[in-house]
Amino acid sequence: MIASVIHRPDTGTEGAWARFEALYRESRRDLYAYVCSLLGDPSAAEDVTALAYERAYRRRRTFDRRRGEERAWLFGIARNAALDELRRRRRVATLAAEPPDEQLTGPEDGAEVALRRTAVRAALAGLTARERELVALKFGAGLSNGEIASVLGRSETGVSTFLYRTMNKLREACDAER
Amino acid sequence: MRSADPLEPEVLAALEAIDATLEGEPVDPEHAELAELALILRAERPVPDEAFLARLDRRVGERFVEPARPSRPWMRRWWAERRGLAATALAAAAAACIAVAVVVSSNGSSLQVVNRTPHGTAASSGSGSGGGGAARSAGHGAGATSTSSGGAAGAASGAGSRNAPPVGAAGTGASGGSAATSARSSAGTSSRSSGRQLSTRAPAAPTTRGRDITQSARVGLQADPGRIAGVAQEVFDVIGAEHGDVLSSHVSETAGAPGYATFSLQVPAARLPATLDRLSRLPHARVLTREDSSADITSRVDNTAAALAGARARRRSLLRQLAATADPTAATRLEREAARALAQIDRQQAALQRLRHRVADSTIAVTVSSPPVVHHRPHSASGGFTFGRALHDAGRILVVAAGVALIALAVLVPVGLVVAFCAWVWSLVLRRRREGALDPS
Repeated sequence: MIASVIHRPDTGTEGAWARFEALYRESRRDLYAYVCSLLGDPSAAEDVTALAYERAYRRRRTFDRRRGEERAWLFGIARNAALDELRRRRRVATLAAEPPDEQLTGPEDGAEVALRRTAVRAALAGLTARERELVALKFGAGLSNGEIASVLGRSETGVSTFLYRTMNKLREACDAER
Repeated sequence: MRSADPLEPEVLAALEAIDATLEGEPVDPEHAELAELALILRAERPVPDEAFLARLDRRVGERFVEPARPSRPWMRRWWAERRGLAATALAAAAAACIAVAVVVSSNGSSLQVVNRTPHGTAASSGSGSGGGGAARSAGHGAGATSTSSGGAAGAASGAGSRNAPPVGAAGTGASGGSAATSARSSAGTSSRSSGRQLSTRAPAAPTTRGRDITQSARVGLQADPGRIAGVAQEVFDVIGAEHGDVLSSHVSETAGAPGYATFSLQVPAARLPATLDRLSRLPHARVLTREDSSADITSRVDNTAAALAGARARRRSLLRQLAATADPTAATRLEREAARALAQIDRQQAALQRLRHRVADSTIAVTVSSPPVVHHRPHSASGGFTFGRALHDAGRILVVAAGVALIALAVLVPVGLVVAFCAWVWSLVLRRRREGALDPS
């Protein structure tokens, strides 16, 4: 009885629900990757990811398409939740501080690739938190520069320039590692 | 989106190479190293646990409903969906409260009870009067002020009854009667006052067997505004019918103000009860106060009569001595003494006559007043429904409503601006705090 009530479609909100479910299906892995990169804690990232989706679901009626795409809106919610978590824990995530995930280096990878990955992780550790967040949004979440600008509240040009400098910094760090 | 400033070609090319790499497209060999870095970064991204994704899928499928507390999400959802409506309802309720307060306060000050006491109204009896009158609308009145004085009415009083000895009914239980029988020259007074109609029974009369009793009364009447002159005429008619005299009268009636009338009446003592009874039954007046007084003057009458008899005896003696004397000097002295005795006889006769008049005739002081006037606002001076009055009232309601709305806006707009400013400042502070989480500690 309760289940039927819970799952009974709300005809008035069914369209909004369908859009939300589609957004969830296409972004859940990207959102987790971004949050986990920001927090550096898979367990906390799971909680924050779930919280972000729940908040987005509650606020789905307040979404205004004129202010940006749904994906950027969702990542903005997730970013606020992750930053709140960081503030609560008074800890800045450091990707390099995390122990290397052995499974990321598959047995089929060659020694050269493993070296490159190790060098990249070390280079990431040398980035600032804002640079690491930018890398997470670009390569972890797969957002476009425009979407990143919307999430961060900056201009797209500024984000593009910031990304270019960060990538150069990473490349130089990797070269120095080798 | 922010407006895009032009990027340097080198930067633009590098960014396009990154995007092409992430989309699986080939890139210029010049950016091969950058493409490789992008691929590694993409491959390094954290991957969620499948168990977590399954749990999250289930929660999303259930639309984040928490079975343990089913009411809370419902309330949250209700509040989230109707927050705007609730805020509007709250504002409307506040505005309605303000409107009701303003309307109630304006109604409370629109009625002004004007209590004007006419001259002499029950003041001589020492008792309150006119308190029971209900508030009535003013605006009646005949316009001019009319004043008349004198004793024109009551001219038909019978002279034969003026010297009739005071005959009182057998009074029972009246304070005046008991006082009259207590001692010589004692006086009794009984007064009654009420905001309602007093009893119309005749006043209790003192016992007068073999005694000289004076009686007087004060009556306070109340009449509707505009009926003062009519009631005055009724008083004149009563006095005429009872063979009394109107010693003086004063009638005042002014438009928009409570009128009043005062009368000084005299009726044969034997007709005092009947007169008071009729005054109490006037068709257009109500008795507010009544005071009956009596005084036993038997001793004064006896003393005066004795003095008169003594003066007469002395004069007769003087006249006999004058007839018997032959001395001119003694005759002259006796004539002067006889003349003084005659003057004394005249004075004693006059005094005795006045005392007998006081016993034979009773005085009545009558005061007629109108109840306190209720002054409504000018437009509502007269009762009844008219189209013009309805339009006027509707206009006033609209004016009051506009005033209430203006007051509400004057309150709500600054409050809303302050709240909006605080919310803006809070969002800035919160944003700064969140951004601070990314800064090095």
